[in-house]
Amino acid sequence: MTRNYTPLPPLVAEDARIGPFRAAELIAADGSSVDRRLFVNDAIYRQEQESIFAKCWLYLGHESALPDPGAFFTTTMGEDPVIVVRDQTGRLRAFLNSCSHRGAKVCRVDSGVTTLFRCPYHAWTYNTEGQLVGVPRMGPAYGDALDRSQLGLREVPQLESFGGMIFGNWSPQAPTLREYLGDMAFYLELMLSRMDGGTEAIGGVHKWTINVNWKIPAENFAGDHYHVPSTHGAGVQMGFRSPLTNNGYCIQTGNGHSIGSERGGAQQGTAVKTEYEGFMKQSRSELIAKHGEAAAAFVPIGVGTIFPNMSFLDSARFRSFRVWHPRGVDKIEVHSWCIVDKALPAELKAAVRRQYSLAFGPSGIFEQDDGDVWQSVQDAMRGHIGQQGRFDYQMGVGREAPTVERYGPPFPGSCSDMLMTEANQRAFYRHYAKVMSA
Amino acid sequence: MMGDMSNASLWQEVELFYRREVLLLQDRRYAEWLETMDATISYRVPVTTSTLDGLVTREDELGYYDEDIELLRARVAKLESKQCWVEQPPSRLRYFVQVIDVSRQEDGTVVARSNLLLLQYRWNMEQQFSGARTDTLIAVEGGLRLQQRRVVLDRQAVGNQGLSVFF
Repeated sequence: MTRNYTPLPPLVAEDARIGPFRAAELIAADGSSVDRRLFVNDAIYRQEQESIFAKCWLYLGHESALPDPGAFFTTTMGEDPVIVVRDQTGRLRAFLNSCSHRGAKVCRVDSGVTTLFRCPYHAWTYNTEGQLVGVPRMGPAYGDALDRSQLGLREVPQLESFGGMIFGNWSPQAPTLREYLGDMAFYLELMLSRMDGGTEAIGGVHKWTINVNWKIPAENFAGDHYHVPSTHGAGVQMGFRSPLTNNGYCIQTGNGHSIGSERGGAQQGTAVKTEYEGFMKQSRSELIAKHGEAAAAFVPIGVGTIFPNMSFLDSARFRSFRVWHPRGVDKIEVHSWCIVDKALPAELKAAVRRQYSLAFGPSGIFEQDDGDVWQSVQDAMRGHIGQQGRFDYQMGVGREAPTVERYGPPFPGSCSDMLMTEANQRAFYRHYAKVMSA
Repeated sequence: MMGDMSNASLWQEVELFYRREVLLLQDRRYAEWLETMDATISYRVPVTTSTLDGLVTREDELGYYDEDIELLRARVAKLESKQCWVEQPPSRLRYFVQVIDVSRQEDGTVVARSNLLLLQYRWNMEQQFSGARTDTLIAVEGGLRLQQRRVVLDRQAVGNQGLSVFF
């Protein structure tokens, strides 16, 4: 079921509590300003771990990384280390990467294929279903008192996929992934189903750290197009992307999720081109045939954030997924992938992979400047004075309307009539306030 | 395969190539650095993945650098822009290259293996990189030219903020 209009997230309730603060102390009711303490306060950070990272659906990785039984990779949910594995029956599962006996990590590598996870501390051993199957000297040490069935790895209770994207949720009470994604599911489908067979992640993960609070990159990908001409001035100058216009959309789809795109997609430029352009053109005409001329605006769908910390970039040149893993209040570890349509020819996949790593990832000629600027945002908030006052998010207040009014059905969400607006950031923080004060 | 340790003139030629390259990279004279390369250059710094079989790299996987001459030129054009914030102000760079093995192949190309240590000091941080370089060099008039470079970094996760250096 697709509704045609997603109302904005509720106004921030003034008297709700966010950590030790009244919500009104931290976030304007309409999200148009946010206190700097939200990015530096330890009590708020600790509450985020509980209220957000233990209760929201978090992106874990792509199904294509786990083709066979026993295939696994490690990642984190918030700061909690997890193993994501395809068990011997083919089912996807995720476990806390911590032995149930004394807590040591039972897996120390990025990825691989295995039948067992053996803890190095006392050699308790688990299978890919998370069951404790081996305890050294069990008879002499425990007699018959040890109930192994109660001592498996702690399992992430909810794990679901959407179009190949694997998400996990620590809360047994959480709504289904589909409900959580809401109207974002519609746009994700556009991004993930351009070709029969869906998408895959190219092997290898870009991993690096940035000394910045996780919300700064999350809100940037949610809808900060205004930074492009300045932060990425060099990328414009050398021709990888054309100068930014204000022709495009920012769409929030509820639950803090949003997308935004310049008409035709980011990274349209004359330098170092590939055949991907022709492929996107083809996809665009297919979508127009299905939904009319207005649909041209949605290939590619653009830059977006799935609340809280999963972002993607579906540009004119390539597609990337990434997670901003929190590592303390002032640090993140970024995991970033290049995503391609499975059915693309191998040479084009390789060309797209190179375009991605030229522009994004740690050495990307766009992303390297983002990281450099973001760390300076955090560094400027270390002092007593730097933590005072608010960031301003008033750009484009009051310009949101149902997306269908601009693009017609079936395009859901609420949309601003220009690209450079902070509507999506406001929606992000309004939803953040709701989740943090729940 | 160990190279021809006795071929002193070949070693000297390779050392000369690297000494010149170190100067170009340290001074960030990237346009001139590109001129030390063959037009068919393959310049690759693959992502390393920690597996049960140790640290592995794969040719069809992501790279930190995954370049041909056109992409390298695009990077250099970006680094030379006044709006390249990651290099404003410019980093101080110190390259240490230790040649480990040099061997001439049957096709006349030279394969050189070396250790690389790079120290980077930036306005907001410092970091170091170490790695193993394997280069293929071809003889041209007046010296050698780089045709292929593969650098496997020892780090699993690349350091802070961003990567604005070449290896």
